[in-house]
Amino acid sequence: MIGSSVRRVATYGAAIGLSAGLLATGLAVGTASAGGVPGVTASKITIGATVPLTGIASPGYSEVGKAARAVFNYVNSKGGINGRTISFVLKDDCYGTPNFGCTGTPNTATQTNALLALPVFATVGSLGTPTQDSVRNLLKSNGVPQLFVNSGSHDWNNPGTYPNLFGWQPSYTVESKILAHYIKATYPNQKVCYLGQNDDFGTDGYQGLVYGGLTPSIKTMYSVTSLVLGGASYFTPFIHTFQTSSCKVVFLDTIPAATAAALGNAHSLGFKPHWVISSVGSDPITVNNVLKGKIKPDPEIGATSFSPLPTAATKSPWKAWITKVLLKDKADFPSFKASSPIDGNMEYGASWGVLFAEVLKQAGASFTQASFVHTLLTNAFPGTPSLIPLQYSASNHQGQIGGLVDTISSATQTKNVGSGVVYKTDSTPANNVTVVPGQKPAGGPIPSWLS
Amino acid sequence: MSALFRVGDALRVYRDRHPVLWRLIWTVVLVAIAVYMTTHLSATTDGLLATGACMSIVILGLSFLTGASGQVSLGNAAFMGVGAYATAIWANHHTTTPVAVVLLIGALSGAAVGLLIGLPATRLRGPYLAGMTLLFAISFEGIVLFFGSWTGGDAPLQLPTIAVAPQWFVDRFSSSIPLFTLNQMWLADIAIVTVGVSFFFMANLFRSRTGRAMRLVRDNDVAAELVGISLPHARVLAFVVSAAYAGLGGALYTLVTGNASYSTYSLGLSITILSLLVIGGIGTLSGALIGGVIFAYSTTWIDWIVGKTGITQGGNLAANLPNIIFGGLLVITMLVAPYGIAGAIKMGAGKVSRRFRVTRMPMASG
Repeated sequence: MIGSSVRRVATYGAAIGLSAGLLATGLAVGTASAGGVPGVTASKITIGATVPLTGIASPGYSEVGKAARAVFNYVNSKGGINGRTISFVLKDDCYGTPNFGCTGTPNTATQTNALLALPVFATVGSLGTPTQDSVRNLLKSNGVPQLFVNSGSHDWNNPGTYPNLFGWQPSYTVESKILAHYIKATYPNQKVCYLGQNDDFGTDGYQGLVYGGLTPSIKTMYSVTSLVLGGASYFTPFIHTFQTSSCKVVFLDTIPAATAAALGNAHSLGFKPHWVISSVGSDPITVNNVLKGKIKPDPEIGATSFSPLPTAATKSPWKAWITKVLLKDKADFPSFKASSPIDGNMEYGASWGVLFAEVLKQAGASFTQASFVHTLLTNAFPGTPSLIPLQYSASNHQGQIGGLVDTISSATQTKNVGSGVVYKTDSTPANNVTVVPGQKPAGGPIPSWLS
Repeated sequence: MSALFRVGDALRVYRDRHPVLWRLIWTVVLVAIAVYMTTHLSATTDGLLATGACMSIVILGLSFLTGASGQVSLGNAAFMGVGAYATAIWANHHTTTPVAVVLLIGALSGAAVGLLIGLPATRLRGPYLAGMTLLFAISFEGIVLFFGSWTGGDAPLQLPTIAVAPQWFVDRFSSSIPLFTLNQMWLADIAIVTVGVSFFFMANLFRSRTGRAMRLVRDNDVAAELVGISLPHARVLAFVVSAAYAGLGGALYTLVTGNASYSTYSLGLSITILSLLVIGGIGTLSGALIGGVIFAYSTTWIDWIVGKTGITQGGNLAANLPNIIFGGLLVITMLVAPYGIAGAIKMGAGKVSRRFRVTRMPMASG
C-alpha cells in the first residue's frame, strides 16, 4: 500500500519535474525596457515582421522582407541612424497556411506574439491581408505600431479605430481605377472580362474598375485554396469561358501562382487576349519561375500592369543603389550578382525599407512610439523610390496614391507604357484619375546620407 | 521513518473516505503553484504554457473517449474549431461577456456539434467510426466557408478586443514590467485555471459510476448490456464529453491567439492530437499534460534541431521534420512504452516502490 502511495507521489513528482525541466528551457524573469520604449536601447532599435519565408506564398514574397533587411544592414554599415543600428527580425508565418513546404509557424498571431516578446518597437512590412487583419487588435492592445503592411487592402486605412496602423502600397482600388482609365483609352468598346481572388483583393480591385468607369462583362472569382488543391486545371473552365465569350481584354487580380495558371491555360487553349494584370501578381521573374520557363515565348510578354515604383527599364538611380545594397547582403541574397535583375519583390521591400529609415532619421535621437507615428503623419518623404512622394495624414493611412502603367517587355523586365506618365487617384467612388504633372518615372532623389 | 508511514497511511485513509475533496485540494494546490510560477517566467514561456494548456484539455477529452470508452475520433481538431469559432462569433456580438462564460459557450458548442455527429457516428465501430469523424475533419473548412457571413470566410475571425489583463491584476506588479508580459501572464493564468477545473471534472467523471460504466462498455459490451447499461447512451455521452473538451480547448486557444482560423484546425492537427495522446499516455491525466507540453514546445525544439544540424530552412527535410519527429516518437512509444510517457513513469516508479517495499518488510516485522 505504501508502495502505491510512493508510486503515485513519484508519478506526479516526475511529471512536475519533467514539466519544470521543460519550462527551464525558457525560464527568465520578464525584463523591463530601460527608458520605457519597447525595442529601443541607446544603441539599437528592434523591429520585426511576419512574412511568408516558406510555404504556399513564399515564391517571390519571401524576398520582400529580406530586401528591406538588406537596406537596414546597409544603413547599419554606415553607422546606423542617430547612433542606433536597426535589428530587423523576420518571423515566418507561412501566410498563416500550413504544409506546402512551410517550416515556420503557420499562425500569424503566434509569430506576432513571438515578436512582441522580444520586444519590438513596431512591426514593419508584415505581409498579407488576412494575416495582418488577424493581429490588428493584438498589436493595438499592446500599443505597438503596425507599419507599412504589405497589402493593398483598405483595412490599413482606418485611423479612427487603428491610429497606429499604416499601409504602404497603393490600394487595389487605386490601381484598378488607373488601369480602368488606361483600358478605356487603349481598348475602347472592347469586351473586358475579369478574374479576381475571392477576398478583398478581388472585391476591391473589381470595385476600382467600376469606379473608373469600366464594368467587365464577365466577373469570375477564384479561391486560393481551390487553386492549391486543384492546381492550374482549376482555372481551365474560367479561361475557356472567357475564350468562348470572345473577351478581348482579360483583367487579372491574381497572385503570381494564379497569374501563371491563367496564362498557362490560355496558352494551352490558344487564347490570346490583351492581359491586364494587377501589380500583385505581374512580376515577370516570379511568374516565369512558377511556369518554370516551360512556355516559350513567355506568355506574359505584352501584358499591361501597374507600378508605383520605377520599372526595370527606367534609368533610375535607385536601381544601382538597390543592386549595391543587395550585393552587400550575402546572407539574404547569396546568389545575387551585379548583373542579376532586380525583381519587383526586391524593389518593393527595399522601397519601404528606405521609407522606414527616413522616418527614423526624421524622428530624432529621442523618440517614442507616439512621436514616431506623429513624425510619419506630419512629414512628406520624397527621398524614396516611390513615384509619388509618400505623405500620410490623419485621414490617409493607406500610403501611396498612384503610379504608372507599365508593360511586361521580357521574361525579366517591365518598361513604361509611353513616356511613363504618373497618375494619381484615391479609393473613393469618384472617377478622378489625374496626371501628376512633372513627375518623373524614376522615383525620388536618393538622400545624401544613404548614398 | 515510522511516523512518516503513519502520516502516509492517514492521508490514504482520508483520500479513500473523501475522494472528491482530496482531488479538489490537489487541484487547488497544483493550480496555485502553477499560477505563482507564471509570475516568474518570461512572456514567451507564459505564452507557450497557455498554448500547452489548450492542447492538454483537448488531449484529455480524446483520452476519455479512447481510454474510457474505446472509441476513436479523427475529428477533434474540427471540434476545437467549433469552439474557437463559437467563441469568436459570440465575442464579436457580445463584447462584455465574462471570460468564464465565453469558455463555457465554446465547450457547449463543441458538445452540441458532438451530439449532432455522435448520434449517428456512435452506431459505427472501429475504422467506420474513425472514417465518419475523418469526414467531419475534412469538411470543416467547407462548413466555415459556407457560413462565411458569420465566420469571416477565408480570413481569420478576430476577437474585437484581445483578452488583456484587468487593472487589478496589472496593479499587483511593478510598472516597469511591459504590458505585453503582463497580458501573457494573465492568459497563462486563465489557461491554468481552466486546465485545473477541466481536469478536476474529468478525474471525478472517470472514477464515477458513469466512468465505470463506460469502461465496462469498452471492455465487454455484452456484459454491460446484461447489467442494464445502455450502449448507445454511454458511447454518445463519451463522444459529447470529448467534443465538449475539444470545444473548450478551441475556445481557450482563440483567447490566446485573438482570432479563429479554419486553417489552424486541420486534419493534420487531429492526427497530431492523436499522436500526442499516445505519446503522453492514453487514459491518464498526466499523459494529457505531457502531450500539451510537447505540443507547445515542439516548434522550439525543432527550430533548435534545424539550427544545430544545419538542415536547410525551407527545404524538404525541414518542412517534414515535425511529421518525422512526431511519427518517430509514436513508433518508439508503441515499441518501448505502449502506455506512453506517463505510463512509463508509473511503471518505473512502481519498480522503485516494489524494491522499497521489500526493504521495508524486515523492518516492520522487526
